[in-house]
Amino acid sequence: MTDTQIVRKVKNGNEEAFKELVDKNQEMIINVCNGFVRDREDAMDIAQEVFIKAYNSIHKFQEKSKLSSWLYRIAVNKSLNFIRDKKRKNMLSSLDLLFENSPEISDKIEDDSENTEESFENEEMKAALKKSVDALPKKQKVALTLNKFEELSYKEIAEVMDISVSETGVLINRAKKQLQKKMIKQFKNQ
Amino acid sequence: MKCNKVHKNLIFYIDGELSSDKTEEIYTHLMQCNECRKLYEQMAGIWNSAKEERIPYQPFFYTRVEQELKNNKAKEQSILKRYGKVILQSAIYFIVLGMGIFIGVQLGQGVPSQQQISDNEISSRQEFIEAYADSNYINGMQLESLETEMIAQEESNEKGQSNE
Repeated sequence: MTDTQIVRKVKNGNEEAFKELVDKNQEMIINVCNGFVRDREDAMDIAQEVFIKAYNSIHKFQEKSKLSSWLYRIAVNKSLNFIRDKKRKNMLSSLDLLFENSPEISDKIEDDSENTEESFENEEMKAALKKSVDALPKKQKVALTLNKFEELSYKEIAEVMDISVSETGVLINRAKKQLQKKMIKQFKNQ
Repeated sequence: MKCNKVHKNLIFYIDGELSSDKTEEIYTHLMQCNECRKLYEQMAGIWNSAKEERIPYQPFFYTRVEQELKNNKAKEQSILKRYGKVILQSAIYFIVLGMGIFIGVQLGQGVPSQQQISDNEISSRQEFIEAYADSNYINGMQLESLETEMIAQEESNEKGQSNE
């Protein structure tokens, strides 16, 4: 079945067609989510939400863009929302710990220091790079993640992000320059 | 090419996004400069391994999605059931209250206050009363003439008695 046929059948409530839509795109969507959240279980949960959202709002899909681009867009939005909520939760829980003066904080710090001692330089650098990617402005982060980690073309990214191809290029270029600067600084400090 | 310029283009060199001339220049520089070559190797190692390990096809993923869809539908139905009852009850109360107000207003309109009666209405009512009185021979003037007649008769009787 082609994407157009799948979409039309899902719009008519055909569950077999929806199964095909999920099976055909699940790997791509789970990996996009994982590219953002970097946690397998979280990525699976978000991907599940993506397909439920797709099922519930398929009637809004006007077939002007590719089905995969539409799914990518939902996946990116869901992943970014997840990261935002997680950050909020982490902030609140760390505030709670701070006010409770819980021993968990000192335990955590000790654990971290042990990990740091044990870990390899490369792992530290990788973690630092991931942190730097997370710290990028939202649009740069989305464009870079889709390009670098999902290997989407500029045209596909432009379609997902609803921007021009040249704007996509500018975003990726800026993101790479920023990351390069940080990486060089870290290598030199070693 | 100077080291500084190489550093600024290293990430694009690794991703193969430079023109062939620039690529050639950087390549030549890296062959000669140990420090830049070391930096290139470190950066390439980290940059190329930054990609997350791909999660393979999940054979039971659709079952998960299907189950969650069913759960969502069940939740929606229970919400509809719970709130549907409340909405229906409120609607009935609202209709009964509305009907009460409507009936009250209609009844109230049957007894207009003095202020609400216009002059035209008063004159039309007086006309009606007069017409009614005419048709039933209880004209005010007629009643008056009968009375005066009776009084005159009484007076003449009284005169007769006094003459006697």
